[in-house]
Amino acid sequence: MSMTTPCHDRSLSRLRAVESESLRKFFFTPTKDTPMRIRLLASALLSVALCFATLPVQGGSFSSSSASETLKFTPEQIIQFAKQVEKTLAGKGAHVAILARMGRPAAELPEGMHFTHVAFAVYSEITAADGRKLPGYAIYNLYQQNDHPEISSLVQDFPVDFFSGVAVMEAGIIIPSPELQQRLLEVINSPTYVALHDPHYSLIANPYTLGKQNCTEHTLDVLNAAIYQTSDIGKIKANEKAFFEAQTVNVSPLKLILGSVFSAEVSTSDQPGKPVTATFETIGKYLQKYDAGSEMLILTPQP
Amino acid sequence: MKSNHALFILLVLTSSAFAETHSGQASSNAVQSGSHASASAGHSIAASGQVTSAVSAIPLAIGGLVSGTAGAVSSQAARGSANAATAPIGTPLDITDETITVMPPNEALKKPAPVPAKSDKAI
Repeated sequence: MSMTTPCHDRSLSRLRAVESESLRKFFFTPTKDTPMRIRLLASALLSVALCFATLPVQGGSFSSSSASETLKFTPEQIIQFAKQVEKTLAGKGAHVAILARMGRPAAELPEGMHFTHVAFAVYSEITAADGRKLPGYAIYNLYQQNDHPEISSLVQDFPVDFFSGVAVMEAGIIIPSPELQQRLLEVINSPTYVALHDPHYSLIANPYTLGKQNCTEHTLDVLNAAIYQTSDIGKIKANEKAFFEAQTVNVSPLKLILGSVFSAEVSTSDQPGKPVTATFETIGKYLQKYDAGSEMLILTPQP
Repeated sequence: MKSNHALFILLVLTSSAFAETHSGQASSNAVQSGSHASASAGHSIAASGQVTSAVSAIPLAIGGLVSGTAGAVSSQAARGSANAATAPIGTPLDITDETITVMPPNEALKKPAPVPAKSDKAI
């Protein structure tokens, strides 16, 4: 079983950990020894934490892929949809594509965000457990670590794993131009792909700065490393500031502050001003504007 | 005492504001953490018996060059894969009908240590 968690949507469970029985008894069982004002304050803080736990802000690049999530669809549905996505990519002759999933329902996400996890789908020679060589797509992800959600790892899996924990059976796909696909393959096959990974994770990582990263920022950095044929992160960030339009995080400042207090994977330390983050949608707009020949599509299950 | 009441009211009001979501209700599809899930999605998929476990995956480059992430060259490319690798980008590709998934730990424990591949010259 994977020890990693999707790039975003599992954060809520951490706040719910606050709901331990010992805390309930302490806060809600009056005793003569505990001053009432302290209990009042503690109860209010607990209420805040519990309410915050229901917020969509944890949706993260709101991205999340988790091998540890409970299935919301049957294995057959997931298998069928994953294969449909693969066949669509293969039918278009895509050697590299950007793939996105919905780890949370759209209604639970902040404005401007729809997909919660982004990764690269790469046409590959897959070696099965019995030694057979099979052609298909491998998925290159950035996942949070289960026990340390503020830390991420680069993890490879496959379409059925990628879609196993989705909340909505819908895939976002960006197929770059042939030239960009060629350059992306070179980057993904080079040390640059790993070198561009910063394991210090934030749900709402700012794509213009260094210090925190989420799956969408890593994807964007790899894209620009390919576009500009460079591994120089300074050059990559300069070009992103000049040409990439990030998504404003439409969540109240108070919620973000409390989020950074209660959740290890929410940070505003890389946000000098109003928080912004990269999303599948903003990456799609970026490539549609600057990568002639790129294609963006949404897939839902065939009837 | 007044300041304590004021603080309490502020915190309660703040927590009420947190309840405002786009859907107007708390998520009913709570994503469970790995440590709390009674059954992982990965296990459920694998247990369905409809998947094939993978040991590794190497990107098939364009132009006939088959290379691994560390630069090693695969000399055992499937015939279909090799043909696809030489086709221009945009040409429909062959993919297996089998569903590939990551190898679960119990299967990985049955595998011997991999033998380092000999590096071949690029085609």
